Amino acid sequence: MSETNSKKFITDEYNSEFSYDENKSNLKISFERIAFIFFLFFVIAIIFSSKVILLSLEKKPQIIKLFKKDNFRSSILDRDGNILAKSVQITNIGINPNLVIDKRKLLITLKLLFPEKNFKKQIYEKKFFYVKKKISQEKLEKILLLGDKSFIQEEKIARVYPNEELFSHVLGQIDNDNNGISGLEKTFDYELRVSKKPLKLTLDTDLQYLIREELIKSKNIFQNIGSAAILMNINNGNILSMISLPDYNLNKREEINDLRFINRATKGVYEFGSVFKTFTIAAGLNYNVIEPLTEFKNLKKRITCAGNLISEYDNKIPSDLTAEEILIRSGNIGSVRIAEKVGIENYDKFLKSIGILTNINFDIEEIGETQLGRWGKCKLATVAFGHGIATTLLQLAKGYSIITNGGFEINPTLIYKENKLKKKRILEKNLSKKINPILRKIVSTEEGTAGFANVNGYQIGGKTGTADQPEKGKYSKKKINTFASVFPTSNPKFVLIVMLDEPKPNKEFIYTYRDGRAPYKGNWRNTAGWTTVWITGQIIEKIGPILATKY
Amino acid sequence: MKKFLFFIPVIFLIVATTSTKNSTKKLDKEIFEIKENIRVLEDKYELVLLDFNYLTSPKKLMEYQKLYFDSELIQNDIENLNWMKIKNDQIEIGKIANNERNKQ
Repeated sequence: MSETNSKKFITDEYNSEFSYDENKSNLKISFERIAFIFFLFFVIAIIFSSKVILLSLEKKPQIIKLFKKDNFRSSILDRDGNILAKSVQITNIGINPNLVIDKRKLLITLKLLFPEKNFKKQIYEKKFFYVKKKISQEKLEKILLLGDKSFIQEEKIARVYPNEELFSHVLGQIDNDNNGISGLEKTFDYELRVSKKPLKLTLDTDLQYLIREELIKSKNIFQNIGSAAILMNINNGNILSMISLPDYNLNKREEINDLRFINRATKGVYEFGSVFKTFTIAAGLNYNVIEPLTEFKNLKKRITCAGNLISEYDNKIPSDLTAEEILIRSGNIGSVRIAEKVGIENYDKFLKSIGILTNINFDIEEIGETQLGRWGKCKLATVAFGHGIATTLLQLAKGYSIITNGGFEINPTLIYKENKLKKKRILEKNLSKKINPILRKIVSTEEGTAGFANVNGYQIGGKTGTADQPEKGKYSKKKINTFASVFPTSNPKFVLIVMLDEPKPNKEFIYTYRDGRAPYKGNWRNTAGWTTVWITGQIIEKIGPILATKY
Repeated sequence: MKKFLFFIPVIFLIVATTSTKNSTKKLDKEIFEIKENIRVLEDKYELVLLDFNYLTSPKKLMEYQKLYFDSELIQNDIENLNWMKIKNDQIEIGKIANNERNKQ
């Protein structure tokens, strides 16, 4: 039994096929490993291949690489891609006298390189001095060839403005550490320092130059202490030209603290006078309290409000006028009557909607704030003809744009944008259709005050404003003469606002008329019609062909 | 034989992966070099453009006009400017000023 058992045991052992199983098992393990490695590489290959295919198919989005460098500042371009400001690398070369081995030998070499300079005193007394700032490449190479370790090279950037003073108030300045300190250089300081892309503006160099030239001529004729002009596309708020005189040469990098150099287009706050009457009539038309032919009878020549006298500038103005005649003849009392019809609440709302009473969100920080005071019956009366309220020229340009472009909201801008603005109407649809022909009549009819701006072919419309300036609590004889023009009035595209600060009448100046009348000399009137309107006419005559063909 | 069959695709994939990586590396290097060249050329271009913009700035052009063409250049009147349109192989010409007047 035991033998049988033993045999059985052996038989069992023999039938176990242990060694075969072991071999089979080994083979199975190595197969899994290979399969695993294969799978791993296969996955990696799939990932790389798909990535390569994806990269080849993918349209690379334009990513603006941001990199901050102290010695970098992007260019500023006008709307045509002309450079208005560019940073160039410059090298300053100096000497540390402590490192000089042979001072006499070095002095002889320096005399040969810079015969007009004498460094003897500096080399013996100073610890460091500049041999030459903004050194030319040729001279720098000669110095480097000397192999003298005492020469210290300094890499810096210099901001170059090829148009010198032409865009000074808009572009602004930078300091020695490459920080923008005024104008666009300040507002877009970060973008200019980190973005490789140049900053493109809406400004047109040719238009800017031509307008500035005419403003300089006006200074010679009317002896004004300053002037400003804004030319803007009324449909999108793009500013084509913005000038304030006096200006300054940006390449000289002078510190400008003198108040005479204030930006009169955006920072200066003025009472503009009768140009505000357009807003009064527009408010009346917008709230349907008047129509252009609504009659106002028995208008007085003077009224008083809280003891203050309000009178007509011209006593010959008729007592019975329609609403449009009030604007054409620039009637003060008629404007007061219209404002009373509109009411304080509506008038305030209207001025806010066109940006006169609200702070403007603009591209440069030098922005003035509206000065109005508290609304009341007398305030309404004075604001109706443009007194008791002080605003900026930029706000005036915005206001005129909105009331003449069909009542669409716009925001003045200096930055060129490819995308078109979405139009949002904020005023009555027919307002512009009613107000534009009235503005045209101010220029084209004899009763109007802006005949000198009636340049053939441009259909110019606009409103004059002659305002006494407040000084020490009362009005002085100093004037701000303004002309707000819109053209062509059949389908307005541009607003041009020109302002002269403290002009004087020139009796020697000869006025020529475009309608063939004999020239006139000996003017004594210091009104916008005889100063600013004349200049505006000259400007439009010069810039008109560019506007008509280019825009 | 089975082992051999497994190894061939594995080695092929390893080689393919390596060559793909290498070729992208080369491409990256080439792209970098091209970008650097473009940057240098752009810098040069901007400097030349700066020169050009300065020499053709309105101020300079007016100086040249006074120097060389003072009596030859005249201001253009809008009445003398025309517009031209090509529509269905036909050319239309009209006055810019008249065009504006017609809209009135």
